[in-house]
Amino acid sequence: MLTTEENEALCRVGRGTPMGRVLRRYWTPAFQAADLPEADCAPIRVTVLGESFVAFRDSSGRLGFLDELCCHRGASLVLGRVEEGGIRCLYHGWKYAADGTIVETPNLASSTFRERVRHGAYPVREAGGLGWVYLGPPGTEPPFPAFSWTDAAAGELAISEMIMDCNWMQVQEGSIDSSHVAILHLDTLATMGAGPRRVGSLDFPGEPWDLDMPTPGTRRAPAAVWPSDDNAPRIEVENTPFGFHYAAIRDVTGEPGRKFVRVTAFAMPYTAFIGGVSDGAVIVVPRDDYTCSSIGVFKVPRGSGGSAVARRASGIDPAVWGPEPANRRFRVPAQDREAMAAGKSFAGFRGGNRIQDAAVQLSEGRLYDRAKEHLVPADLAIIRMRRLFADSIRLVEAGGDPLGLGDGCDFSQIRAASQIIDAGQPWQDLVPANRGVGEPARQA
Amino acid sequence: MRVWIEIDRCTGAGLCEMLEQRVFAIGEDGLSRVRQEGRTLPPGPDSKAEVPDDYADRVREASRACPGDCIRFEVPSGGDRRT
Repeated sequence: MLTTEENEALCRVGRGTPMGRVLRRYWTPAFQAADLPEADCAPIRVTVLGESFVAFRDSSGRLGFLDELCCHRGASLVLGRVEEGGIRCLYHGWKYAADGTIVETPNLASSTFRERVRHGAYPVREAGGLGWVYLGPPGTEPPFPAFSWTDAAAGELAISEMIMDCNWMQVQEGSIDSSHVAILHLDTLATMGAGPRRVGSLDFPGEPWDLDMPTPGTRRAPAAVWPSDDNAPRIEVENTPFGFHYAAIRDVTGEPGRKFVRVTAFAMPYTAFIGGVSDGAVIVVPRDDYTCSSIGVFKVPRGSGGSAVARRASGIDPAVWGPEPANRRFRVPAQDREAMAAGKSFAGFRGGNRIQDAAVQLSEGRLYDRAKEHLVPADLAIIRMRRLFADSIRLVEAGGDPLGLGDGCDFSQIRAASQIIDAGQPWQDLVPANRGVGEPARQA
Repeated sequence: MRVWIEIDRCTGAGLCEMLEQRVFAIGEDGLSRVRQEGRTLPPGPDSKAEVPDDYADRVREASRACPGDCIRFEVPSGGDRRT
């Protein structure tokens, strides 16, 4: 449990807050690049880390990421005209280049002002279908986290974004929480073919109920879906140059001497590579203290990235969220209590893992008071994440760098895993590069 | 620093031992004990372990994580305490 002060420090992200200062020291995935589809297209408002910006693509296709409000008298540049190498405020025609240079001030003839004043502008780059920004002190940008999917072509990525009206930490904790997978997601496992399962004293028949579930496709033999009845995984956590990775270790049903290992890698401060999930990552970005985006980025067969099939594969259910920009806010769907009572459904939510996750994470409230929580050993990865953030807050307050900037790390080699291995084999063997470049993999 | 357990509140979850084995151990009754210089102290209100101050971060973390809120500590040099 955290005190109110500790919880506030962990959760609040605005400029000038302890965590806000930490998060501004990483590249932040702030918007979908496809929302700015072409040169001189309409600009977009981007709210991230409690601040509002305007993002636009100038005549040459270059991205600009500027403070939203015109530095003259505060009109929103989101209303502005994107034209001839910049964005022009509607109010008095002030025009800004993508780097924040004030290029025209029609109601002020003197050029001195334009030479001496600069509009707030931030480094921005496009990678993996996302626009990444750096909001920290100028000159302190860390190496860009070039993950395995960040150089993929747009047609090879399925990107989905769910905007959730709760503090980001509630969602981030869900990304690194293995012990809920075979409980909250029982309906998903049933659709996949896991068959009957037991949760405490509850016998869940496991007959597929949500046949239209966007994830995850073909049915398989029960043991191939989820080979364990063990609902209390042992969690082993290890720091890495990018943050940490952990293994959730379960007994394998009917196979003593073997263990079911799911390795999740957490790249500070936003990105989780989740064991058992296809090539890609889940990113959680705070929009403000009470709103966040849960972004899924998954590699798909070449050319299928924008297709409805690929979008479904990444979990979009248009009935409750996305994919259109105006429709990304998650709405908790109706819970089918009849199906729950009849033993057909465990959670009662149609739509797959991300719907089930979002429903419980939102149910914690806008900003959960962790003075009321009771952690257990299955929550060790959450404790480690808090440790890294708390240590980073201390380091940044002392003038240093936060943890997980990736020194000695090839981000493209970060991997998750989900596999059955011999009980004596180190799980780190499954993800040898996570510990850093140049460090030899451990021998089995 | 000084560390002790309010045994009546201990739930036996075992997180403390997982986070700092130099200071915490789960006893045969499934409840937490404090350790001093490798020795597990008996349960009871007088069992307060003196451990190096540089264990404070992990003790603090264990105290925050403890589902029973039963870990108490004092760090005289830093004025930090949860008592």
